[in-house]
Amino acid sequence: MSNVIGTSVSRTEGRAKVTGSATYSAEHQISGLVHGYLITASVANGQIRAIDTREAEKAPGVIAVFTHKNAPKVFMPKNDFMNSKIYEARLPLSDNQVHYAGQIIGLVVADTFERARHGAHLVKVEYDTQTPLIDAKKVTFKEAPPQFGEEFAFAKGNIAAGLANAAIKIEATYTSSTELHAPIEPHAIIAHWQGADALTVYEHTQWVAGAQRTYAELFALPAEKVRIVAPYIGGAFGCKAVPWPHAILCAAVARQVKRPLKVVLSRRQMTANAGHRSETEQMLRLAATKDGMLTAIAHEVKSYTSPVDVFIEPCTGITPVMYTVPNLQLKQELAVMNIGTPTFMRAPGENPGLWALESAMDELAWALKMDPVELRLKNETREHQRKGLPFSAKHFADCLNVGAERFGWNDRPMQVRSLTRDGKRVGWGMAAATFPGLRGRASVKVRLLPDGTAHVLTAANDMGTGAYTVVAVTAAEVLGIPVEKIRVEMGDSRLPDGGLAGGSQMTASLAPAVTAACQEVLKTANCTTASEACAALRQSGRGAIEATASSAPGAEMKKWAFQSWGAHFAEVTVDEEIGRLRVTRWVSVMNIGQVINAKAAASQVRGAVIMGIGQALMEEAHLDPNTGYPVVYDLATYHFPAHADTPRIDVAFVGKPDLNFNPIGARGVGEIGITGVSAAIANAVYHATGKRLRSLPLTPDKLIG
Amino acid sequence: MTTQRLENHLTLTINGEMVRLKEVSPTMTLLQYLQQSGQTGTKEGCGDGDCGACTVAVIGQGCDRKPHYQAMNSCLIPLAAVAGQEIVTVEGIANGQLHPVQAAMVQTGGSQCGYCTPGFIISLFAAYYDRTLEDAAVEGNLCRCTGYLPIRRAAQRVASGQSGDEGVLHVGGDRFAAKLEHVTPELSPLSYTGNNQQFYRPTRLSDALQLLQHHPESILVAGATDLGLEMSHHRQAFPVMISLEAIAELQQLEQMAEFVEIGAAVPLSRIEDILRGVFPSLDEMLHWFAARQVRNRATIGGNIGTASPIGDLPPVLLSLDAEVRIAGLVGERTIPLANFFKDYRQTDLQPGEIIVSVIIPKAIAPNATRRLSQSYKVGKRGTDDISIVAAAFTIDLDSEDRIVQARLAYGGVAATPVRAIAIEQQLIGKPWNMTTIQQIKPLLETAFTPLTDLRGTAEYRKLLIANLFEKFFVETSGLQ
Repeated sequence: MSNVIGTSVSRTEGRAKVTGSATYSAEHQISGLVHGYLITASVANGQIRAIDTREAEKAPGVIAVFTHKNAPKVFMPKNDFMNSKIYEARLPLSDNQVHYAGQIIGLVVADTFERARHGAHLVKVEYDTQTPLIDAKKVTFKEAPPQFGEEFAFAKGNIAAGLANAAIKIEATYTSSTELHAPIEPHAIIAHWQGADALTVYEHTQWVAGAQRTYAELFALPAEKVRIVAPYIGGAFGCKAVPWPHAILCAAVARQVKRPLKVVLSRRQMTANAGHRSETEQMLRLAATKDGMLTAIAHEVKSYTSPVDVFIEPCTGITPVMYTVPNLQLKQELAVMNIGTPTFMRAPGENPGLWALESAMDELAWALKMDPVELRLKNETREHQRKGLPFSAKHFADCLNVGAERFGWNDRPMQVRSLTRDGKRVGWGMAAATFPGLRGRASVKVRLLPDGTAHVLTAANDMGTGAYTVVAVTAAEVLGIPVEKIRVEMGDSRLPDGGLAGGSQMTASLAPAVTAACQEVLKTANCTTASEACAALRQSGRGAIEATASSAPGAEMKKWAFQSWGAHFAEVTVDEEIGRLRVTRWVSVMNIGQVINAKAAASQVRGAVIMGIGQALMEEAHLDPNTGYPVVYDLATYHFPAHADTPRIDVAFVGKPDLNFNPIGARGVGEIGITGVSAAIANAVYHATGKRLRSLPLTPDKLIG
Repeated sequence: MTTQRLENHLTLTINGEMVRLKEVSPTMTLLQYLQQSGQTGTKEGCGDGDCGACTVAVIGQGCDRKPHYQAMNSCLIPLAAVAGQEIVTVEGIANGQLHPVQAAMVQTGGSQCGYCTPGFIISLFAAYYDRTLEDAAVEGNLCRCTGYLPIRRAAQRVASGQSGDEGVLHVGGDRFAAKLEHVTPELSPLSYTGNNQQFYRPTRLSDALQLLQHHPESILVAGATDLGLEMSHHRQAFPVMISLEAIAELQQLEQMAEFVEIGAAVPLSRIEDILRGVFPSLDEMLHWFAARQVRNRATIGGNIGTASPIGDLPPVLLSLDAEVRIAGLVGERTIPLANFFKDYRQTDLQPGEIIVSVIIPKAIAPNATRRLSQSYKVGKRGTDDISIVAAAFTIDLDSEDRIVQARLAYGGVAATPVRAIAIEQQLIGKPWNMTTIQQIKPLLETAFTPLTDLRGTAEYRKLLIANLFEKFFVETSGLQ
């Protein structure tokens, strides 16, 4: 074994990215390619009464126009997230119903993109319309159904008694706005049929093998007849995991027109048709003894879904995880609105859940006149209160203590409006971070070559997280050869199933599989080191030694609860004259088990913190209150941070490898960094101004008003 | 030259290779051309000039009139506008070895998903040759993964000369630096037709006025940072376009004792460089104006000609009492900018007329002894944003600090950029102190009836109208 794991390694695909040679979905050069442009609904609720495509069909360059009247056949996949999954359970163009503004109601195919777009504008649509449900205050809530097999409602102890007998109580409602993933790469797909029964799909996907099975089921093909190619993904954050309606339609239409077909969404189309994080309303009731021991937590959540699929923003997942409490009650409700389908967005549930819980904990600390770090240390739980399992390798207290130390937290005056600088109010706030340790099955093939290099092959993917490098580093560690001599190939369904890049699990799934495959290669060669094996190869004249291995979670899942931990410390300034809030200093300390590539892991945390700063300060996707159409349609209206919004961010890791979890001890780091960020900022704003803001984002009008 | 012969081809140089294009639409954007010709290193992230993923470097004239690599959003550049010019894209800068900015970005982890990376690389590349590798070099590039910090570190690393193993400049010198030594980025006259669209780029004002008379339906264009959005998304047809970019009279920037005259087609980045220190409020606003890629193309004439109520420069120019020089075939006229804006996106420009220049007087009021002047832009994002409210104030004081002249100008509060004239008159004769400010603030809050939109509420805007004036007082009085 060498000692590469845990060091700082530059990205193995960095060169391809800085020279522009990395190829993204829309950029594959396919001869005979034609272009599709979506026709989208201009109303939010109704039926298409008439759709006239005659003029479009006659327009120059237009090859075909598809609507619900001539929709190509597709089959409903199992959609169980084990075999296959699509984002929206209604198949595109399946009838004349319009469920949300911007919904796809047709596709124009032409020889150029411009002509397809022109054709789409020539299609005339008449609707019968009904008043859309788009006012969050006027919709009907029902108890949320189970999601991915898990119930939401939970109770232990006696919540009423716990609340009634408490010395200190906090009851508050926190809201968060609709947010967009807004990856820099817009959604794009090229579907290329080889005859009527073999399909190649060039589409960014966080789940290569899942996409292969899903497209196979959509067209009733054997999986091996579908190939997914996704070497590079220009950011995803949850919105490029499985096919959206435009992608299904593109593949179906490509088969009809017998030409390779490309569909790229505009920013405007992405707003309606490529997912979002639902807005939430969360009521929290906290009770504690005078010395700060929690006696009750009640957490009630409302979120929204579209008429055509159910996605519940699972905010209450974190509540049994954070603090020991004898009386606990969880409830989630869901309402249907005429909006596009929401989906996973970086730390779904954990992120808005901690926004509410960590704000409420701060309110409790002030009510108790207790340091918020001390309050959290006092109430830390050693077990998952819903699963009843002890946490493995938990170092939450270290995150709090080390973070407080690095930030200089102990110098904080415990009084609001007590710090100023350059005529601005200054405030310090903190919040906890958490994310479950997830792991899935993954398979990897390793090929050792006589020249001392190795190839590692897996149908996993790298959406910017650093997975290519994690795989290379792990293989280098086990084989004892330099990282530069490892060539990693990913993002192609012809390779062994590398699992899902979601739930921060790719590293935890892949690294053990890479380790196992490398060890298998050495075993096959009957050597202890790769250099011996290569020497033997050269002598024997054989081409390569190859081995494939898989790894998956097992019995440990029944013994332990796996969870990552962290703490954020934030400094903000508030210019009270104009309501300008700036984040000026940041410390994040994370406990994620074994860090594999220190450079990439710290960067994941920093990038997540900045996305959290965006959520806290500016990100909100408005709908037109009359039409339900998104009024946020580009990057000038959906604001996320620019470099000038970015403070210095100090990131540190604490704790030990979580060897109960997997042989490497790594728990993954993609999402935890964003959790707790908005609460830390709102808590700092309270310290700066004495104003408690409970509604995200913390825009200037709220700061002044 | 009323009848220019229309050519049917365009030539431009991309990464050192001359390309000759026929039949292409002159309003096809440079990005669309790059993508369609398989040069996909340059990315489309938005097509609106917001994200900077499509940034390319064009060799253009700097404030020293010498050639410079200038970062620009290729999604907003009509192909005909770069006819005859040299363009460098991300594919063209590594020559076997990585360029120092590329090497540094690999080493610091400045690239994650990689989709924004080519744009950052080119912004850093252009800054490298301008020796301006500070944070602001990437103000017009959005990244959703890295949080910008490793990108800043890459810029710092190159600036301090630590470019690592790779990225050592090539033996025999840097070919990109050498290139700048022997190119002359003068724009030549152009008359092009393609895809039934005509594109004229005259070099004399008289020619432009003649063309305009012959083609009254034509659309005037300079940097195209506004019209480029329509081209990028094909929202508008452009049968005849007249580019004002190459007209010598519109490219002048003259500094006289009493005034400064800025040609309408002078790009904002050049104004920023040449006039730094002359008008503090102009410096401040140009700093916050969109981003470098946009300022390298956008012109002062375009910014007032488009008459957006949330344009950044009009409040500054109004507060400095600027005038607009306008030319028509029958002659010239000069009017106060305050009379130029007529209604929402309506100006005083008559058919056949062209904005020639903007004149900013330097003199303070006759009885005044000193001038206070500053501007403010409040947006949601730190940079690369459109204002919620923009404000600019100019106050001339006499020796006893009484207000002799006041100009309070705002954007984002009405259908046009506006001055608070009634309030300005009330300020005259009053002492410049907090008592006066507090008397005026309630009047300012009710002076305009702004709208609520997704950038801010009407109430917040009203508060800004008043509080920005107080902020101006506090800052200029050294009370902070």
